[in-house]
Amino acid sequence: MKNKTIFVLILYVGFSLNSIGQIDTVPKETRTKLIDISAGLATGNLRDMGTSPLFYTGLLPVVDITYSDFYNNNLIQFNIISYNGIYIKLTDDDSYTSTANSVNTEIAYYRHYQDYDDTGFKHYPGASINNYTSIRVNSAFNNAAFTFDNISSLNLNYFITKEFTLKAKQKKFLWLIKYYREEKQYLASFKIGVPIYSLIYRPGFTNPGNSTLNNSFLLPDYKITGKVFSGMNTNLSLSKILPNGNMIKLTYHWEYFTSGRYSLNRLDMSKHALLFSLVFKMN
Amino acid sequence: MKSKNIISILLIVVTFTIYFSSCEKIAFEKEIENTPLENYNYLWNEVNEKYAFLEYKNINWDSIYEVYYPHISSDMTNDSLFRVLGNMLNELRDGHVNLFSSFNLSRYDITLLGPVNINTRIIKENYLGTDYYTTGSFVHNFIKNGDIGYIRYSSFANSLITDYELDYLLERYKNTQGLILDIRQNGGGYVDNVPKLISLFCNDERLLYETQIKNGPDTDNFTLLESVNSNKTDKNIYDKKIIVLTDRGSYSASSFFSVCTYAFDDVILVGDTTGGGLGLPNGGQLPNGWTYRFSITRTIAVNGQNYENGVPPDYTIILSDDAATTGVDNVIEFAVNLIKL
Repeated sequence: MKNKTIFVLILYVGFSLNSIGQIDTVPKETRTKLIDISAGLATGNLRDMGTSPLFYTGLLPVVDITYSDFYNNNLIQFNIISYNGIYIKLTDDDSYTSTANSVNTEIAYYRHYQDYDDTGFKHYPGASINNYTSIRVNSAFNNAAFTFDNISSLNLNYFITKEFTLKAKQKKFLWLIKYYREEKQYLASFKIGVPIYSLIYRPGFTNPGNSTLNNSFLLPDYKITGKVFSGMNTNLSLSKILPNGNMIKLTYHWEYFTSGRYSLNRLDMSKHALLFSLVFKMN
Repeated sequence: MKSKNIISILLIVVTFTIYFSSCEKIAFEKEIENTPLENYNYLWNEVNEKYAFLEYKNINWDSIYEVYYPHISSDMTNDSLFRVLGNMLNELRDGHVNLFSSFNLSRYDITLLGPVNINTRIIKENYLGTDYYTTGSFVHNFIKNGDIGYIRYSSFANSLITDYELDYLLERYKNTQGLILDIRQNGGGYVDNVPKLISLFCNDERLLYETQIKNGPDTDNFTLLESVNSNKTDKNIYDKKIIVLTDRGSYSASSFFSVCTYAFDDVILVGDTTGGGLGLPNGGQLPNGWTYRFSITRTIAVNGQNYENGVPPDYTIILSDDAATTGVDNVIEFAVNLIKL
């Protein structure tokens, strides 16, 4: 596993350096600042072996705010995404519910790799650090009802975009009603992130939860463990570019995380989110 | 140019493949099958690795597996499975152990280990009287011509004790010779109420007990001992003798409170051994959805002893058989004599 990590890192650093080597080819300074405000709904699965061997299904309203700063060939992004909802498990004779509130913050840096620009695709290799904090409460678990998770990861990311135009055209609706479709500009983008190393702060062996005896036992016997390649996250989005540079965007976000089969109280979770966004050009 | 296009498109195709194949399912381990045997194995293993008192109670958990295994069959009903799992858990002889389903709750009734050491009718008729006060969860009054305060605290679970309630008790009984705090048949509740009640007679920081959490699968895998201390405050306290009355029904938080009294010379336990329950229970779920709980911590008293099976009193006094006819609670009378010594 260690060799695999080093190999991927060498490949990635080489790729990124190649893109940095192209600074001289930039004709002029350009800067675009965007703020992206999104809302949507996520579903997904979660299994926390500390309390249950069962997968719970989540229904989680999502709010996401992303700030992007494109400066020459650099892209810096700050993202905060919040999920607040419930996880449900239906069994043969009962149902169990857990509240779930989580916040994920991420700071990412990307570098525009121009070699592929002639294809119409823009490629941005990059890296990010993120922190995920979650609080879940499932009263069926008595003193283990409360679970706090904190996961910090170093990620390798890849971001790819393609701008395309639907030309102005005379069209017919249902082969009958004639209308004129104006020229429309779109931006398709795809981002993939792989957490190469994660620090996971979770309940220890017996998940003592809220068995508080006094203040010093707020998170009793919680442990920090490390994990290489703990999952994956992707964003696939399509934006309609408005004449003033603002955008309306639809995004499908997918991510999964696993603390691994050898971890204490194994945690597996996935999320599928559909987000509607308004993207404002700030300059 | 063409190859670059292919690479770019390939990336997108791979992405869609990942989406539609639900790649996460490959990374995740499959759910444990919901069969009677898998549920039985899961629960047995959870107890085997996480229960805090297998060694202390000298329980051979491997042999318990063999005892109940023959009762498991693939076509057994949920009701039968519940009874087998519940009986297996009751081998732990622990009031903090339960199995919960939508149709039943298994329990080990710790109160049956000893006599009920209280007759509440006698308390009402001959001690509290009809003009007793109710302050929060405390029911109290003067007894023995106002020389002694009697406080009945029947549950740690009703509400969190407030400073106001304690201040009121202090003010009302400040001129008495001693207090009797009756926690017989108090089945416990919020552990947070233990240090609060301690603050009735303690305003300095001192060791109350130590605790450890099970942190590994072996029977002796525990965290280092952590001290639980009383808080230093500038509040007034009751500084005369306090007698705490207990019995087998004094469980969990009541046992914690009883253990704490070992740290105080002027606080004396009278009655029967408590029910124990000094391990804090956690909870979990079986593959079929039923939930369970059992103890995953242990408590060590200031004298270095583990009283999980019950906190012994300083003076063992059992309610006499003729209490109902005489109307005399000999446990309270003994406490009164201790105060007046």
